[in-house]
Amino acid sequence: MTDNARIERVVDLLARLASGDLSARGVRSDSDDDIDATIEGINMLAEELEASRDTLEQRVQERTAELESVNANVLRLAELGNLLAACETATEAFAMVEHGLKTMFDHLSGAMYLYRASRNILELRTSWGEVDATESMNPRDCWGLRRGHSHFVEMDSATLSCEHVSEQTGDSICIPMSAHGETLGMLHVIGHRTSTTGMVPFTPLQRQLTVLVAEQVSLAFANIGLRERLGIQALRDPLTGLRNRRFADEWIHQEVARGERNDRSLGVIMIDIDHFKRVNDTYGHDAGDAMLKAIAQMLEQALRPQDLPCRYGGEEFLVLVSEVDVTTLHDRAEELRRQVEVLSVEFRRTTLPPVTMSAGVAVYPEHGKTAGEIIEAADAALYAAKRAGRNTTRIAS
Amino acid sequence: MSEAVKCYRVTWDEEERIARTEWLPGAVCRLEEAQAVTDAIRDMGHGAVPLYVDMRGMAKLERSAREHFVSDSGGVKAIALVAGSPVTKMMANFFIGMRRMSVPIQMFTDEAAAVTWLQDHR
Repeated sequence: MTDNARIERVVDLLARLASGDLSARGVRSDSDDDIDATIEGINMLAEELEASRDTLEQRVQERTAELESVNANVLRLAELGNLLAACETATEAFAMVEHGLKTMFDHLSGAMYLYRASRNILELRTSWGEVDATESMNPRDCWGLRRGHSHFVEMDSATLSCEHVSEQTGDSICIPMSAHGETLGMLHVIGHRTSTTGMVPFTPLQRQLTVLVAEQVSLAFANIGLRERLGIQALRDPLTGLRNRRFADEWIHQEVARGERNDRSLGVIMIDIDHFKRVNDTYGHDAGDAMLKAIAQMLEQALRPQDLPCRYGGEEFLVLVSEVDVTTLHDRAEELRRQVEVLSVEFRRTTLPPVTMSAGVAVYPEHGKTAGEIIEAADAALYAAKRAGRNTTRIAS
Repeated sequence: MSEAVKCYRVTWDEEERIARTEWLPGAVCRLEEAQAVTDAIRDMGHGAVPLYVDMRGMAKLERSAREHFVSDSGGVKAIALVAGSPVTKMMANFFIGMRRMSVPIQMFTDEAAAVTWLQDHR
């Protein structure tokens, strides 16, 4: 083969490579001359380009897979957020969080801790995977909580591990869970070794995702706590701590509906403190409030746990009792009346004069078929007790 | 002198206190040969040594072998590549130019010049 023909082959080889065919290779002659040297150089360069392309393609594939995984997790995170927003209690939310974390971090392990009310200890609320999570921990044992932001530890840097981590089995991250300016707890996520894939490291995107999860869960728990507090406030009387009229009305409606289905009875005792206005007029409203609080406390102590004393308004109380007959209910009202008679209330180093109460009792279904009818019946019985001279109990007719 | 024979020879030059690798005519250096050479140098037990490589007979230096020489250069202090033909010069220059070796590396066409250069890197 002439040198011109060999050079034409070199040009053809370069054209193939230029068109993207990186598998093209030239064939050397036995001349071992400059043309062969050029072919060898082109071949080596093509090998390098092919290897670089393969490496890049592999990186693209890995990155694409990671982005797909992150995308799926972002959707799961959004779904978890929606579910958490629908949770009414912390117990419901814990179940959702446990499921959500397992789904999003199926190849990782972790645990979620929340502060006790005392705020000196964090308690384990949920965990998943192979983490050896301690049941409770001191906030000082976590660098994330001490520093106020997420603390990432690579497996090889175990000296930076938190005290609450018994063994650094993989990369780990501790993320303080904060919302509305308050730290609620800490999310701890840790990688681990699997029999199939070996050590599972945290990618930067996974770290970002864990922070997002912690933020989402924190906000949800803060909102649930807020809702629970508002719910309690909405159904409680702030002075006495007893349930309020709104609760009493809802309870009677529900119990009447249940009674219709299950043929169960219920009863109410409507109580009014006799001549309560005199207490207010003589000793002031603060004394009246002290009296109401003392009576409320007495009611809670005297009744069974399943009986529900409520402040119905002013000096009126309503006791809600499930599955009771009229005789038993009357006896219970009388017992309360006797205890009010002997109740001693201290106010500003003075013992207030004793008061009495009048009560009307009514039961479902004898005295009414609806919530409104039962309340009216009890109210009428209370009015009858008043007319009978007070400090007595009357049964609805 | 100790010796390992295949398409290459690895020997210890006690006088110059350098390791010598000679690639026989038509030798193709694949990953397997590259690993055997670095293992043989390490097995000599002289620690990190200056390395003389006579690649004048080498027909091909495969990419996997090039990768290995770069990643496993712990047994050498410096490398002198001795080339002859345009093709072996191309292989040597390509290796030096494309790869970032962690030790000094230079191409020669003359054995004496190569050995002299290695003396400065003992």
